[in-house]
Amino acid sequence: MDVSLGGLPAAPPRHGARLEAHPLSERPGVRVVGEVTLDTRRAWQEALGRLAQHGGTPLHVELSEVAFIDVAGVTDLVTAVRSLPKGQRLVVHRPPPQMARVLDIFWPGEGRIEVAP
Amino acid sequence: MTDTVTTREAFVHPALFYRGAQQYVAGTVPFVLAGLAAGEPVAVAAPPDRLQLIRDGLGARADEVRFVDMTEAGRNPGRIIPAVLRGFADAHRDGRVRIIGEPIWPGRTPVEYPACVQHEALINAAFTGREVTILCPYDAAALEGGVLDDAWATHPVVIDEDGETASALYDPEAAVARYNEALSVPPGAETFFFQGSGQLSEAREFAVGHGERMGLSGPALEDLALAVAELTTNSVIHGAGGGTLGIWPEGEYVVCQVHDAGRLMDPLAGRRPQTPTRPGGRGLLLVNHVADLVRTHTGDPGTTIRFYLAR
Repeated sequence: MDVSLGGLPAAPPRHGARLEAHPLSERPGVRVVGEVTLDTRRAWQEALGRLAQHGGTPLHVELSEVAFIDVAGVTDLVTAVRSLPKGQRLVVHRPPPQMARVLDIFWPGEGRIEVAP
Repeated sequence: MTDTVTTREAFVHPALFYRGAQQYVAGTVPFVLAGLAAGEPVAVAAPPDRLQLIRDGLGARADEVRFVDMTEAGRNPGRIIPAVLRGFADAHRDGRVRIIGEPIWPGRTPVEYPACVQHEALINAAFTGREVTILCPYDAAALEGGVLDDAWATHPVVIDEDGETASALYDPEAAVARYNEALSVPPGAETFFFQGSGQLSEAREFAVGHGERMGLSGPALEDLALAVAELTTNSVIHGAGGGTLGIWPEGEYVVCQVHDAGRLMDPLAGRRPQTPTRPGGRGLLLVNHVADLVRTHTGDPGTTIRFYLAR
């Protein structure tokens, strides 16, 4: 536990990126908070892996609180979508700008991912 | 028993040394028409004024040819193999494909040129065994003699007004090595040492902060974040767990480089288009796609990847 002096909380130490995933309450899917990098890739993959457990179509991934995603993170998203049952779609909400850029370069026309601004 | 093995390389990669528009048209238009006559898909990637000469020479048949502005698509020579050449060849795998690729023109700068020669040399390794013909025109009247010497090293055959000559100087590996130049960080650059995956976010934010201050904004700043993330992640995974990031302004560009103690053993790294289902191996390819120029150096002190983004 951090030792705080004079009642002021110590600045949190920077030990890499963090990532949290919460199920959405109003529709099937997940809300992710943090950033997707080497440090958080496993948590990201687990969050995507749990998507298939949600019932309903399409599935939603809310990313408005994700500050950054690297190429491996976008690759994981594409892999996850391709492992979903036929006919299932994914709507990605307010992703960081890198996601559209990476999708456009490596997976143009990946029709099962819809990006909602 | 004697086995007679005829090894006829499927890949054909001649350079065309031309002087003036007339020789350019004479060397390219019949080449394109022969491809069309044989039913081969044909693409031409060259500077816009050269494209126009070929278009005019082809007349109505120009509609059957794919034209690519090489000064845009191939501005970064490291992007030409994956995005232009293999992009076209891989889309037409049922039979021979014919391409004109002019990556070196008189306006190429001394900073770009080493990457251009390495690109020309690596085409040979990238297409070995493929049913592809790539003709590379060189403006022999305007380019310096040293450029033509390099073309003799990077092309097994040279075509000029005297006809076709097998190159006795063909040695693409030596050409790659000759331009494997050290890339030191200039004085005044902002530098950041990173070690371990826990510092990847800091390294990226460091680069983005300075990149913005140096004049990058919008998509260019996002590309900086992506490229830095890929290179620093590569360093953590493959390059002794960390490295040094440097960033500085240079003319109309912001230049950024990542150095680590790893050794880049694969000369085609970052130049192979990935099949969509492959899980990894896109980091360097991404940098080649987003940057206006990528230079690399690899050797005993490690590997340096330097990239340029226009501001």
